[in-house]
Amino acid sequence: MKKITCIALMFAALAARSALAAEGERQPLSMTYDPVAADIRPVPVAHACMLKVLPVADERLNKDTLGVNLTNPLISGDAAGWATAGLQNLSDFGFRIEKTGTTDGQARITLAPKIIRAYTWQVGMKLFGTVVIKMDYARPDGKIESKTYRASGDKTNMWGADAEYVTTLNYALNNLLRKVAVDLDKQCGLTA
Amino acid sequence: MLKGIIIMMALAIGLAGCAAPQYIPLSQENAKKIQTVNVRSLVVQDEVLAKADPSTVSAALGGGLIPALIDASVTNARQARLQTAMDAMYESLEDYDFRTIYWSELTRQLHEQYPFKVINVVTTARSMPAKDVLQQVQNLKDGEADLFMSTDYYLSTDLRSLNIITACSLWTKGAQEPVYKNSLKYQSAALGSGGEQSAKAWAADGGKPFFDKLKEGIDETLAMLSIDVKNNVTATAKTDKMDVKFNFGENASAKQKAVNGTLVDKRGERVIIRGASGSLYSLLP
Repeated sequence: MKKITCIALMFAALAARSALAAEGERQPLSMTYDPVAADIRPVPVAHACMLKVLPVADERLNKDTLGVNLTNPLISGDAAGWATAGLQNLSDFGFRIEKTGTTDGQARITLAPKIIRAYTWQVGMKLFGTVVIKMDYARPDGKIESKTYRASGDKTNMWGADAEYVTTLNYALNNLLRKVAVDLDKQCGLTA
Repeated sequence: MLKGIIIMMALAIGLAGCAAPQYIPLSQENAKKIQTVNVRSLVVQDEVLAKADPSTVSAALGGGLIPALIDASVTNARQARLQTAMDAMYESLEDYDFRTIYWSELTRQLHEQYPFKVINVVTTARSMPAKDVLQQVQNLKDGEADLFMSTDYYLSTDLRSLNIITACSLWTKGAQEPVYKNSLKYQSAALGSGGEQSAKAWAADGGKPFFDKLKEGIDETLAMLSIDVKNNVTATAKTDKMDVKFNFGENASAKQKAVNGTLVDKRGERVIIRGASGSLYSLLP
């Protein structure tokens, strides 16, 4: 009986595993920013000003992978583009984002972000993701302040799909945006 | 959800009883066939983690959707608490690179002390599926072997001990299973009183306590790697049975306090023992 159970379970695992392998092994993951993957919905801040958000620089020490799904490597897609898209979503907190290429200098604060970590891991049924972004804030008076933001996100492993790992990163990025919004609220208040 | 549950249940419950052996010692006969070794060292992690002990309600109850959801919720709460405590460490250690530290030492020591002549060391963050391993070893030449290493490093769930765990397997041409396989487990001395206090202690002085133990762990791992495949190690190993204290973390039962094993080597204050399953442990008695 035990043998039959073992064989059945191994078959189930292998069947699932084969399906995973067929889902695009070793292709870079499509990293699409998802504003909906958030534990808490954004709430407009008290002091919202106009921001200029520069494209995120990819300064990760490991630009190749985002982790592993069982034994399949999770190959990183365009993490900088993904994070850049995410930062545009600061508008959901009430901030106005200056359009790319605008040079009339209406923005009160310029954000120069660098992504330094983006990775996932698994514990039991749970998937976790961590994102770390270093942010330089430049004000019109030329003053620059720097701060590093770190946030994690999680989701239950529903299908064993690679895309679910990207979802955990979206949760992490959206949690990170909330921390950035808190600081920008203060900065905008100072420059009002 | 169903697929996720099938995968996790198969891994957590079913395969435990029918898994391949964790330890395959290298026989003299197979050792004689090996002249050169190519090494592939995998490090998936980008930084040190504290991984929560997964909840095992589902395994205890024999599966089911509700127990699985309970497991997910409990595991999530445990991990969230660890992440908060770990922030104290991460704040001071944002951009170190374990891979650089580890791989330079690995490459040097493999060339200097590994019992077989090491020709090539490939370092990567990309895991390799089992079918690709089998395919790769088909292309080996006579006398050639591939050593696959996969290294994880994490803090115990009370954040007091650094663990470095390396799974390794040695393959010869056309083999369907490795001629050698084992897990090498390093655990540092415990630091601090646990939780956030320990996380801060690891990061003190620019992270010196953390980096010192990383270096110690790398040295111990590479020593175990060589010891485990050396000729006659089984025959010459001291047969002293001993219990060595081991930090199983904050969710350990009262009985989980030590690893029982056979003394293999003494290195300064530390000992290397072989546990009941064959794994090598480098511990501080």
